[in-house]
Amino acid sequence: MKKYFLFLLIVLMSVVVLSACQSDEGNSSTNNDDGNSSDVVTLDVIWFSDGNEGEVFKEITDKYSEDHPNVKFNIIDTPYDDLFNRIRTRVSGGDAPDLARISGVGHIQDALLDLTPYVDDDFLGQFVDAAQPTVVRDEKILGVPTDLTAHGLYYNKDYFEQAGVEVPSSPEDVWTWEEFADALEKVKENSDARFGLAYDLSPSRYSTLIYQNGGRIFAEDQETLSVNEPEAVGALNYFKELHDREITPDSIWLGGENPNSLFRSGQAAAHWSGNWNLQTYDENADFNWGVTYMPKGTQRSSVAGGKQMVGFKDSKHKDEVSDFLLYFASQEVNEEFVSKSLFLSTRIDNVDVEYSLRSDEMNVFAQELAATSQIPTLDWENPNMPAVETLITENVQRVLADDLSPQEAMDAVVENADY
Amino acid sequence: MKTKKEIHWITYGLLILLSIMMLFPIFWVLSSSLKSGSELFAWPPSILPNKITFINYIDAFSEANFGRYIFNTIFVTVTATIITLIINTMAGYALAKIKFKGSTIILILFLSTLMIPLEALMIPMFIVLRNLGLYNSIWGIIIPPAATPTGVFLIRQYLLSLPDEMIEAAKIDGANEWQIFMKIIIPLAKPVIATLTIFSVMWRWQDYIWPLIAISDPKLYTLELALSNFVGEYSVDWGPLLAMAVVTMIPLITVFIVFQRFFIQGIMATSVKE
Repeated sequence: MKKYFLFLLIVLMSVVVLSACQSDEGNSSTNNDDGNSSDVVTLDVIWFSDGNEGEVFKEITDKYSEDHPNVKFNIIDTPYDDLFNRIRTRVSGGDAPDLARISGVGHIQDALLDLTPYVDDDFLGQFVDAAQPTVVRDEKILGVPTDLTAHGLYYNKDYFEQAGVEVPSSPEDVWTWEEFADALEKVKENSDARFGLAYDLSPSRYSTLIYQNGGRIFAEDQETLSVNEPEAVGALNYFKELHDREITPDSIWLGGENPNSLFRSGQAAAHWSGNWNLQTYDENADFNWGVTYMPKGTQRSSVAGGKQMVGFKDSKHKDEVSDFLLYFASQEVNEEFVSKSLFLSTRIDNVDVEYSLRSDEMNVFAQELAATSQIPTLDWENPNMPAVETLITENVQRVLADDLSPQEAMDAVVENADY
Repeated sequence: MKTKKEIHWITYGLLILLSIMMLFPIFWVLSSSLKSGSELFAWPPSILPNKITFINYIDAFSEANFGRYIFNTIFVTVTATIITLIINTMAGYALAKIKFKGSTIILILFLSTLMIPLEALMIPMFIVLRNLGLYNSIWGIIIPPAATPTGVFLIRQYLLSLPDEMIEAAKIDGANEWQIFMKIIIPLAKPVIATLTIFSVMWRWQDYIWPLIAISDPKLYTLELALSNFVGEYSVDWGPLLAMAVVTMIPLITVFIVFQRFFIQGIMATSVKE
């Protein structure tokens, strides 16, 4: 009997060892080996998707591999929440990937490949103002800006028609904040809508109001906070008013209700969100909807969110990595990527791209971005923002719950910020 | 004063109410997975789909390579469970019935590993995995979590309740350790082994963070990894996600139904002592 046991153990062990070896062999084309054993290199790309951009990227890499038969891609789809988790583990474990699509270089900037030696001096000049600060740190270029998102306003055309309320037709005659609140209130009362406005529970979406009121989160020195100045407090007053007049339901910011569902299901007449919803609304909303201009406080403003493609400095194929990054950022490839994925381009020469879907609506988002200064991008690229943004959310919530006044809440953000 | 019959009805009423509360989420996932994209978010929500559609299932299976993921997950779950059972029953038996120096210290060491969360061990484990050449291999998700301390503890506690006299009697009859283990302990430990099987299948089937770290090749993805890829930064692709959640649930429910009898026995036996 003892013999059987030993035999079983040995079989088990050898199966394990054999298959471990086998899978190692199977991987010989990836970058786990030192790369000089064969001519073909496989680049590990860590990727995340919101819509169909993963498929578009796959097409682009396939085309690239056709022209460069020695370069293959291993695209590793990753849920957004675990993106930096996966990247950090691999980098600290000594197995850095080659490329990654990320939102904000600040999270992992020490691990990234500096592109300065590989590009011309005027490389950054190809990109719009809102995109440039997203890749530059300490005079290093840590990646290429690939696409931008912009905040904007969706509205339910059926409800606005029902209530006889017209939306602004050009950037010149946008609503003021007061007109906007009145318009929504009128739609809510005179149509089947249960609520006027669904407003995303997100400090970034909230900050649009601060910028529209001429405020900013970090002061000009990029160190101290100016979120308790009158402009930013005024934004919070207005936000509170939207809730007090029951134009925006408390259930989103205080109850975690999903604003997308509120709009998609025809409960809310408008949705303050961003261009990333175009695709899902196009596929899933069975009523007429459109995108119109956001109102202005003292000025018009949106907030640009950027995505970047980055290389890693521990990659064993730096030349191939930088070569592909420049290819991916080039005018034609970028045009294909943004037009098919419904993104706003980061390139100056791609600002009026034709989109395969909802080109007019995309154009409104592009114009929102054109009216936006660099301040929102500088704020949101600030390395201390992660510590501040949760405080903003918490304290805005306390105002909505009648715990604090707007001024007290913003003072609390400044006092408690710890960085 | 209530009669016995009345109490009877109250008990059943409560039990039925609780069952509905427990089963409703499962039913809701199933019903929602059969709704179209616009009906999924309709207000007021409909309990049953107005028009049954399989589009979400078709989308999920065509978008991603789910046949492959299902095979991977089944392979990982079955192999890991077999390894877990072999290791844990042996270790549990040794710690419960064999007297040797330092057995308590070893048990405490086992249990203390339960107190360190996986997140804290992730990077060291990743380095060990890579140096063993198991990174990005299916064995990398199977072997490291197989020797679970919870399982060892579960088996040990159960075996403690078996009388030592039985083992002594077997020894007098000339059985060696191996025979005692195979012919006496294993048959008697069936309920706790079934319990551990259910746990292990559940753990491995739902394992997420470890496969996320140990695997980079999409061909080796398990269902949980593939499922989470429907979640982006701004948006969640609910339709296919729900459809796959249904497919992912089926094997777990099956395993539970098959082993349910033992499972309940196992729990009773570990909690009640004579």
